[in-house]
Amino acid sequence: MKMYASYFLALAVTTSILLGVGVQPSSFAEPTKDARTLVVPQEQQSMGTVYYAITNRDRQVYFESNAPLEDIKGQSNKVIGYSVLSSSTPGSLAAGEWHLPVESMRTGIELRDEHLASDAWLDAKSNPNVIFSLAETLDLNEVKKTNAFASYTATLVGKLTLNGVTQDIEIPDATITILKAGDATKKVANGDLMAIRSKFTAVLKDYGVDNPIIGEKVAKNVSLDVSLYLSTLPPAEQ
Amino acid sequence: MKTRTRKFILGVCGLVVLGSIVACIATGAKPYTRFRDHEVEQVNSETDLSDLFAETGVVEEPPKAIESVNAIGFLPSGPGLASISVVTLSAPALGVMIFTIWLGQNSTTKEHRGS
Repeated sequence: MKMYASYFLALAVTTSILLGVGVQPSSFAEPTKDARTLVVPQEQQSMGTVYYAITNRDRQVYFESNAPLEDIKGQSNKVIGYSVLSSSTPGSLAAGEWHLPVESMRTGIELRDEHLASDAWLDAKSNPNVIFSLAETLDLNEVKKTNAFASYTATLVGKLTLNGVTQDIEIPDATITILKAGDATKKVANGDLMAIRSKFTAVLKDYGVDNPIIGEKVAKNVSLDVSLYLSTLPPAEQ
Repeated sequence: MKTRTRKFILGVCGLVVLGSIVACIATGAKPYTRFRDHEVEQVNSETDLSDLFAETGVVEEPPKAIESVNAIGFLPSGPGLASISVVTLSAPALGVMIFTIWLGQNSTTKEHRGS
């Protein structure tokens, strides 16, 4: 009897490993041990130069909900992540991923911040981050190039995960500016620097955010203004 | 209740109502009561990176900032101090005023009946 039990156990373990049962495969980059950035997958590192988000400094995300009964504005500077500047196409981002902790969003009203992170809204306990995974950049246009910097506009194509729901997203007219390290940049941050600026709208319903007050006190569409600053050096050396 | 007492109560309540409205308008006429947020202020004070990129002339202005202010709003925004608002201050004051006026009218009617 004992022998059969151990056979069954071995079979169950093998099957679960083969089928991936019990393993939580994450399609998102994992945070580093110090949680100051994300672990860049090897295959993405080989695509070009990795730039790491400069966190806890300038405002990175501003969001606005304009509903008939109430306007809500919020911000955060706690986005972590990276982008990979393509080694083959200048100015093009080959990959990237950014995590915005839901609990870092500040609206200026403490109770509202708590509501925002609650399970009635973005459910920070189950889905602690709003995640953007960049797959490719399209429509790349060089805006200006000098010895010190280069600026481009592009459409960012990727996936936005909000409230645990992932949707494909295209963000047109994003601006990518790359500043080479120099005397001016050293005073602010170390390494070559990059700024990614993008504006887009998220339809709350598309991300499973449903609440009776949507349309009255909270807008159906929330507009986001993202301004990420990144460095070729990881956070500890920035 | 004496007329003088009634007038005093009405005056105090009127002041509370008027004061809360004036305070709301004076602090920006916000819909909700809010207080300065140290974290918001810290984020708003950080502009080194956006300034650096602005010097290139190709990066547009940084995202807007949210306000960090003390303001008496029209409505409360939570428990404790955040419950102070035009509505939470005025509603009880108006209630007391109405009750006082009603008491005054009642006693005047009784006095008339008595005479």
